[in-house]
Amino acid sequence: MSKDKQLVEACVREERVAQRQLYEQFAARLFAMACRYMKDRDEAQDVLQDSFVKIFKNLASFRFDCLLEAWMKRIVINTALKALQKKGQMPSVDIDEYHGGFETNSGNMGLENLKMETLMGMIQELPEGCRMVFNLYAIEGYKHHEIADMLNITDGTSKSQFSRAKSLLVEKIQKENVRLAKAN
Amino acid sequence: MESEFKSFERQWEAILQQAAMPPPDIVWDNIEKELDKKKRRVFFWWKNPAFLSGIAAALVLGLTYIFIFKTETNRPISKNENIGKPVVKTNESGRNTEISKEIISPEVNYKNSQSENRKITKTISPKINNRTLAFYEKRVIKNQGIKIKNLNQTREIKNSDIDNSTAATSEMFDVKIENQSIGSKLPSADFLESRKAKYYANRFKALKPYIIIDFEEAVAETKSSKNKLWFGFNSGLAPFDPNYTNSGFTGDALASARNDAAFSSNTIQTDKLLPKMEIRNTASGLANSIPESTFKNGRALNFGFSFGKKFKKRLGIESGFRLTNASSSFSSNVYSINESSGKVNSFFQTSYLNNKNEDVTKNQTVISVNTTNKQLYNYLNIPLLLNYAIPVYKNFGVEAISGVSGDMFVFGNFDAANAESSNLNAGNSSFNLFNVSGMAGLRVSYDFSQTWEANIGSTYQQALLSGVSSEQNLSFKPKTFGLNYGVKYKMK
Repeated sequence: MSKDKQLVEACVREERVAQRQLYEQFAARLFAMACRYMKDRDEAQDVLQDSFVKIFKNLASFRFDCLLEAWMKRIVINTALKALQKKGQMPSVDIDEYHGGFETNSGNMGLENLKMETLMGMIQELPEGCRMVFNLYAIEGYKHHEIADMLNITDGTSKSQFSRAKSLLVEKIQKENVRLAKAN
Repeated sequence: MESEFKSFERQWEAILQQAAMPPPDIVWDNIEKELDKKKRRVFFWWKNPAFLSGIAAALVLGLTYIFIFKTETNRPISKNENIGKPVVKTNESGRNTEISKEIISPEVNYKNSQSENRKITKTISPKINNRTLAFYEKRVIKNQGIKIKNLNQTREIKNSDIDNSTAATSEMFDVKIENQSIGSKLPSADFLESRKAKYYANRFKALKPYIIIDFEEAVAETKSSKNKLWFGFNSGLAPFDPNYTNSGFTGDALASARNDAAFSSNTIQTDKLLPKMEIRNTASGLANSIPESTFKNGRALNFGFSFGKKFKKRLGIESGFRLTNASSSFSSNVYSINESSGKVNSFFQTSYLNNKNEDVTKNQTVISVNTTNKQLYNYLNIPLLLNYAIPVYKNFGVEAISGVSGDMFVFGNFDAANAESSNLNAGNSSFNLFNVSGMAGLRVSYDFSQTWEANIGSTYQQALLSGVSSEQNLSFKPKTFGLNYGVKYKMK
């Protein structure tokens, strides 16, 4: 924590070396995160860039009441959601799909056998609304009511979108596993 | 219900939570640009000496223009002014001088006649009627025995007479001083003309019953002080701050150094779950290899020739030519090695000052130990300054100066690490040939004699615009604040 604190303080003083160091330390993980939310790498780059500008601008307000990385991740998420919101790609209500989605078998799907690029590609191929909810719920660990607040949707819509995302992903993973089995 | 899917979520979370993908270098470049933009936006003008000196110079020049030139050029009314010229007549004793004047509208045919019936015709306006005649303002002003009354003038005026105020004055008005000996003691019509006393009185204080004339000041100003020219030699010595700002240096140097073999082999493998993901070498991993660049102030020496002119009792303008030789030193641990020439220059010089004669694509960047190089700059300055002189005690006076200076970059000399130093000029580098700086200062003057004066003082000068054309946010706004001294020869 003290190392992070020193780094943050140097960044607040606008020392470029420290800013660069902070960027180098977190950019890779935050970029992977941005890639999960956005459709392609170019959009993810824009999100990462905007996020770091916001991070450096607001670093003085960071009070170390949580992990620095968690705080930075939250900024990236907000930036990504705003970017998607601007594009008019917010999740829409679909209760029927939500009810249908619970039946999907979600046992061990053998994700560890798949490459990171493949998994990222699967997520990026999801429809925008599903992708957002899936990331927030499955990876970031937000609850559905929290997601509903963040995206200004209902709990039901959040659940519906997640259910849809899940069934789409299970389908893709199964196909990929079959393809890999044939290849071997 | 949510726990029903935990196994599914946990699997994804385990893989993706700590996933890492190095972004391309351009992202940092863009972030850096954005940060620089934000820095520039936070522009405390009251803390920026360059901005302040620029404002001061512009203000002084602007006010002077308004004060000097506007009063001279705002005289198209001189048609009326000429028309309203007084006629001074004195009687035998010279005490009952009569001054007649008329203030008329421009739309009046004005006629004037002279005793010898010489007629000059000029129509100012084609119409004349009762309404236009109503514009006549005829006043009789008495001032300590001086009577001002209307004079019936019937002579018509020609254009040429109106445009040439001096000629018009003598042509239009009948000035007769009947008693020459007494009349010579009185203020003459020419004197009134030179003071513009009547003009101001008529225009701004038409109803004022008395014309007030400061005779002492008027006499003082008719002396040669207004037209004094002077020439001089001056010199100056000051600390020189090159005032480079280059926030992108660290990033640029690191990015460029990565191309070097010593850096490119280091890659770090992450988690087992991410067999293909690699994180490239980072700045934090390079012990003792953080790029450094530090500028230290040097000195600036200038000498030159100056000249000036007083156009008011205390206000003057000056210019001249001045050569400035300035130095500074630069410490850095980042070098560019040119593969073709083998020449080693500082990375700062090759990357930002852009020696156009070298093939920069063949430069290898190396971060090593710190060395200090010397830099020399030579400028030809052509200042344009206003000065305001205040007499203080006997032969001593104080002068405030302010203005701008056109600075031509003649050449710069930069030390190289293992080769001959390189001469940079506007042709082979990114230094701008023409630059502008703001100047302001105070100096004390001492008159040795009626013609010779010595002065000493301090001047602040700072470039208003960057002296280099850079696409990489490099700014070079040198500033000096030091001693100036010189001698002047004042023409009689």
